Amino acid sequence: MVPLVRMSKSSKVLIILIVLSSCLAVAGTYYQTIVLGDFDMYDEESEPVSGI
Amino acid sequence: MNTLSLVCGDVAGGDALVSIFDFSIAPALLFYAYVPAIALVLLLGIYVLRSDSKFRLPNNLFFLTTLFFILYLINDTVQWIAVPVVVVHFSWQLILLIKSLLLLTCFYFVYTFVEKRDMTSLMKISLTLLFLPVTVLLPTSLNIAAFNLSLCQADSGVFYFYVYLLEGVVLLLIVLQFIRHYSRQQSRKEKMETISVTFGAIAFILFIFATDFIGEYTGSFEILMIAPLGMLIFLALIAFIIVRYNTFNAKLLGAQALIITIIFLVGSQLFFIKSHINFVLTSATLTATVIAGYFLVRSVKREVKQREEIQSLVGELAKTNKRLQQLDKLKSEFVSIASHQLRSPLAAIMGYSSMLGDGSYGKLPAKAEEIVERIVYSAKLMGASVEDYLNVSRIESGNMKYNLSDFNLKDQAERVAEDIRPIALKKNIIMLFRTSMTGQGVVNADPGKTEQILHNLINNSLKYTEKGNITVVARDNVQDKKLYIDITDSGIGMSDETLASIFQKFERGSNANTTNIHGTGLGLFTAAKLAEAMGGNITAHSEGEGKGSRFTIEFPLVA
Repeated sequence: MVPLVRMSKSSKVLIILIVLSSCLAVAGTYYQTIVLGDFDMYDEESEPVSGI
Repeated sequence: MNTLSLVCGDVAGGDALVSIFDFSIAPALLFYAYVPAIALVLLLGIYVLRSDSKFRLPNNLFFLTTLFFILYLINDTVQWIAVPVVVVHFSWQLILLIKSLLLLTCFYFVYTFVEKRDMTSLMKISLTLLFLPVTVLLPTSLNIAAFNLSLCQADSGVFYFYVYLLEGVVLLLIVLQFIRHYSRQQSRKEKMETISVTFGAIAFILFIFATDFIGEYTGSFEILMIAPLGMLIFLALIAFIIVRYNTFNAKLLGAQALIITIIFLVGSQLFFIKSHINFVLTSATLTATVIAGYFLVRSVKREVKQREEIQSLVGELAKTNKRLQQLDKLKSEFVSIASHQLRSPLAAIMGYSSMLGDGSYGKLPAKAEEIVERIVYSAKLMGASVEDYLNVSRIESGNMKYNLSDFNLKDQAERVAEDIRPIALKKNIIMLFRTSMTGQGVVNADPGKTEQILHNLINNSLKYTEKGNITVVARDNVQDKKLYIDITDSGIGMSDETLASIFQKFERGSNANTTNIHGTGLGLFTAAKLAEAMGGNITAHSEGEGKGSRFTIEFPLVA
């Protein structure tokens, strides 16, 4: 039987905090990578290039 | 320049704008491994979540774990099928976040399930602090250093390896928690639930860790496709405890789980079949499986419901039985108290009336003597009844005392038969005693109690015999080391129905009421209980009503 452990207020705050920070991190990464294309890439046969 | 226009080298189209996903570039095994895994994980996650009406934390956390695992699989799939470099790179960047979320949720779930309580605030803050660097460093080159265009895969940054640290910490915490709590679990059910959840979670994390590590080390990421196996082991163990122990309060049936698995396994083949004939055949198999599965699950559900109803009735019956036993005990206590209260005044009645009859208070008129005799007789009857009630009360409360010693039961039986013979003669009944002994007939019992047994049985025969004879036979069986006393009468006999219940309390022969016989219905019950308590036994036989009866007392002989 699963113990009757209810979700406390602090659990809700923790989950909301983690979800919010995750969303922010994903949005930031999306903007930087997909929208701006701001990341390093290279071809093994040439020198590393920055951005697109 | 459009960021989506740059594509990996193995995709046709060069730097021209192509669609974002190309399913043909991924290995077929990817879909075969991931699609059923996603479906099964999602299904079980929803099942566990929906079965909970009380919003339990472990149910919610298990659902969250399954969601993050699905995200992990989808993200991995995107890495295989995405065409633009930015999308592949973005997907690589998200790995750290998704894995961290997956690990922490999985640990939170195992913790609340095993500990049966929520985490302390300190633990929650520690977990959040462990997680926050992931969100901060996710877009940076510390997570993913650069993108290798020729291999179409990303190079991990220094911080990417943080996930290994998280995996190690979570594994260690789960193992420590298991060691600390396993011995404290009370029931086998609790132990099995703890083992299943803990080892499932360990298998799940180890698979992710191992495949990740090997992929990173060898640069061959096909190994990641076996990562879902860990989750499937986890799910299988969760499904096991759901089916076996009704864990999560989910009434998932074994048949239901089996049918769903078969449907997904058959259904997932549809994604990879190239031949039209095979497609049709597989579709038909799937349809037949769905229909057969529906009827099978419905039938099993009905059976389970019936079983639950029976179990509920059994529970109610057990409660009622317990209550009845309590009432029976109360009744015995009441009878005991009432009998004790009756005994003292009865002794006075018997004593004074006997003295009156003996002429201790002067000569009584003839009419008065007759009345006094009746008083004495009635008082004796009442005294015998009270003694019966008290004996029953002592037997049932376990307060009967037995003074065991070795003595000759055959001689005792003969003496009792002799004592009762004059009473039998008054009724014109012949009382005979016979022996068929090869040994002495010495038994180990309480002589007072065996005498009471013999009196009860012979008097019982006498009561129910109007004419003829009563024969008491003492016999032994040296091989079996048993002594038998048979009391055979030519009385009213017993039907099979009466025989079945003759040794029960307050039980009297069905024809007893028609023969004007006094009795409480406790004599045989008392005799049987006393014999049992001393290692003996009493059995009754009769050919039927009107054909007499035979009672056999059996006691082990002293070697």
